[in-house]
Amino acid sequence: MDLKEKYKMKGDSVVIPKISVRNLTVIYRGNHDTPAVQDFSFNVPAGGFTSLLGTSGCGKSTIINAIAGFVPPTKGQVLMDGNPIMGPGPDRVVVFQDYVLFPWKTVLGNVEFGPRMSGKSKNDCENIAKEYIELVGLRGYEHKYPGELSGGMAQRVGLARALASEETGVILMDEPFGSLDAQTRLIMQELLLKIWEDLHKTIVFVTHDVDEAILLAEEIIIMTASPGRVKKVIDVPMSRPRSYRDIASAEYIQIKGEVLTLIREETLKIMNVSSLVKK
Amino acid sequence: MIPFIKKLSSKRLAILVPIPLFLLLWEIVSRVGLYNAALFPPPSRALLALIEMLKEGTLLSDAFISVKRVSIGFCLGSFAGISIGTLTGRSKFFGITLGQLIQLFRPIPVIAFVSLTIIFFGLGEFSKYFLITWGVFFPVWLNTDTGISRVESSYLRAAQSLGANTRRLLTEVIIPAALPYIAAGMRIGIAVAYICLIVAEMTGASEGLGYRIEITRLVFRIDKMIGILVVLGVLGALSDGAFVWFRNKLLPWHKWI
Amino acid sequence: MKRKIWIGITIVVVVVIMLVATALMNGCAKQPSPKKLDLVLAVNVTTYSAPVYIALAKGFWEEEGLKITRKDFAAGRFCLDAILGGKADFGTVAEAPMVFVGLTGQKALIIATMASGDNEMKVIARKDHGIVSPLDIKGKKVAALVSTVSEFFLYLFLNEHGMTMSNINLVNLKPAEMPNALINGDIDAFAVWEPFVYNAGKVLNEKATVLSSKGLYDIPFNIVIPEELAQKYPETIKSILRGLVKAEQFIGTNRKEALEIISKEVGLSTDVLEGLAKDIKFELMLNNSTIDLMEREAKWAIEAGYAPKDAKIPDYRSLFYTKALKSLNPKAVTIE
Ligand SMILES: Nc1ncnc2c1ncn2[C@@H]1O[C@H](COP(=O)(O)OP(=O)(O)O)[C@@H](O)[C@H]1O
Ligand SMILES: [Mg+2]
Repeated sequence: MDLKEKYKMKGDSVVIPKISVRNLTVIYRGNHDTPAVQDFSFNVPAGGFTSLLGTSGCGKSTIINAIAGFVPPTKGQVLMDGNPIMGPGPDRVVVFQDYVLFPWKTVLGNVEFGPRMSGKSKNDCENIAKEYIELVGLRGYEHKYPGELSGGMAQRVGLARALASEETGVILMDEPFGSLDAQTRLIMQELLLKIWEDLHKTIVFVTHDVDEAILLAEEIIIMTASPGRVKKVIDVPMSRPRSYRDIASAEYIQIKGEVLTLIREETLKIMNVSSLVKK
Repeated sequence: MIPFIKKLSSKRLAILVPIPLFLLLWEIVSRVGLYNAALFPPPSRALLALIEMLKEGTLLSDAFISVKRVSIGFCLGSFAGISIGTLTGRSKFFGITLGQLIQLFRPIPVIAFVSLTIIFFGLGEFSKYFLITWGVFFPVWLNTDTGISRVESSYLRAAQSLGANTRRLLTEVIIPAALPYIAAGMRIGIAVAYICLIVAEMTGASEGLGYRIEITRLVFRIDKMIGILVVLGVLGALSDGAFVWFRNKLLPWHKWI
Repeated sequence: MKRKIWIGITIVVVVVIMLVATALMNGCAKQPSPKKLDLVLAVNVTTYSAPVYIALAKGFWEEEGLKITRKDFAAGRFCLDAILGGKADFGTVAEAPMVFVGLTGQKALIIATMASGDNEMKVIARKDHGIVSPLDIKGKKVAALVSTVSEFFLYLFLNEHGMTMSNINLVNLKPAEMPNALINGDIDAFAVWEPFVYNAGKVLNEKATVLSSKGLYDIPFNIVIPEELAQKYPETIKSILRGLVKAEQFIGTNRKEALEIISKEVGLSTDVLEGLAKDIKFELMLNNSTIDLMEREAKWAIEAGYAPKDAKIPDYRSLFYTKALKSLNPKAVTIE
């Protein structure tokens, strides 16, 4: 095996990446001709924040699902800490676009789900859950049911539920703020940044929103339209801590220009608008 | 229009008028004497018959034993329906094999099973429980099976990624997610239980409301019979009301249509 | 909104009126014709139905120009339902169900008693359930068919031995279901007519015992018709009776063949039937004693709560149609 490919070199030491997607191809059953994702490779270091950016239908969710263990690779490998992923597990929790809270459980019940599954005592579960409910600013809402919450509140519960699964090193987020209004989304992004900086989790973050990707990620993987391949990897060297004010910085504007150009190419490809391609 | 009626709100009128009006018309038609009053008794006579049965002591003991039979049969039928429904809804193999077998029996009316039940299990309480259990089983099973097999896969994924094993997946996600379906099946089961009760008590019983209906029919005591039918209606409505109350208490998160 | 309510109320009123109207039309619509020849006969399984079986088998009613469609019922009580409901033109019914017809002001008519005897009804019990003598029946599960001679006989039997119905646990069953229930041990005893007692005894052998004795209850088993038949077709009634007269003569003269015909119908061997038949009087009559019996049964029905407490014993004479039998054989009728 080629060591250089398997391990990402950082300084002098050999560091095994937290997540390593290697030549991943996923073909859905009954759809043999067109792969959803093709020959896709990227690494996420421990504590890294990588964003997958692409037009809708390019295979972003497929990659998240492959890392989560929901969908098996047709070809290639998905590794975590160097070991192949065999199925879903609490070391990689998922935050979904449509929250997927359990409607039959209260906010507390949802958040303490992870700790309970890991066999912690009832008291511990409750304490842990309350801690994260507080962290996402939902104190007082413990006994509400998801049906009684707004979208922003629901996704904060989704985030707290993922974080409360404390053994988790990796959080997989599939367009988590996609169904929120612009104002709420901004607040959620800042909340996520703060949590990431404080808790040192590894995050793979799927989005089709260019601003969101630049504001949050250390590295953006721009995907080609169907089938999904790596089009370009872009570093986001902007200093931390970041905030929404950074969108006015020169660095930001420069990166955004580059990203927009790349994304536009892919969008035009799938939309078949040849008159616009020349410009 | 008559002034005092104008004062009543329309909604109140709609609630208050039909039943008393119906009873009044019935009373009048019955008392005019066009019909044999023994066979078409006015509601006032049915009420007197009810009081008579209350005094005799048969009404309370009949109602008690019938409610007991319905309760036991309903619990057993629900339990069987939920367990087997979970099995068939969850496992493809059992869903096809057992599911087919159950579908074979489902359309057969309970009445068709009465004689067979008596031959197999005799005339004792067990036969009554069996018939009610049998009747309740099908709607509960069908709804449970549907509910379980339709649990959204995203819930399963979320739970698995939070570390739920197969057993916890069932108890923490699949069954709770199917509860609205199961409750709907059980509610149908209550109505079915009363139908099966009457069918079961018609032959070879010595007490119970169904038995009393049969006896009153044989001696042409239609007034008593109507009284018992009213009691059955009230019991059915109370059972349904109680079930809905408990359901709403236990599943506060679901928006019932 | 208010208008809607009045529409709703109007609908209720209209529905009730329509129900009344259809019921009235049902009662008046039928057209009379001089003689009714196509008849539906409701019959139940008992050795007492023998004259009917013979008349059917030997074509005695065909000789009278009648075409009979036979319908079988589990008991005379259910034959009566068919007659009252307009589903049968004549049928076999004992006097006990007719008691309730009188008490509820309905109308069906006895045209003749065709068989009678005091050894048809029996109480059979399981010895191995601890019943060896009549008093052991206390607290036991005993089956009878409510509102029929089956139940009244049980009542008489209990009275005879100083007990009442409240001393036993009455199970309501159709006669055909009783033997099985006793054999399976679901009940401890039952009271009914033949062939059901004999059949149960044959299977259970020494495990069962007949508790009752002969002579307790002389049952008049009758032919009953709907009132309409008497009003419109008196000639038809005579034809029915003439067929039965021939049948009863046949039983007297062709004993062996008669027993074979009955044997096929009730499922008892001719030997057993011979034993039973010697206690049965096959003779068309209308007896005053039947009215006395019915009055006594009416008292029982009122006591048992089967009739309203304030019910008056009706004039049971009005449930008899004597004209036809009188014209055939005046001596056979002692009811004026
Ligand atoms: N379960 C599935 N079965 C078949 N095709 C699928 C399935 N899920 C996704 N696809 C297809 O795979 C492609 C990528 O889908 P997805 O990963 O959901 O894209 P994205 O999340 O980027 O919008 C799409 O063409 C989609 O139609
Ligand atoms: Mg997606």
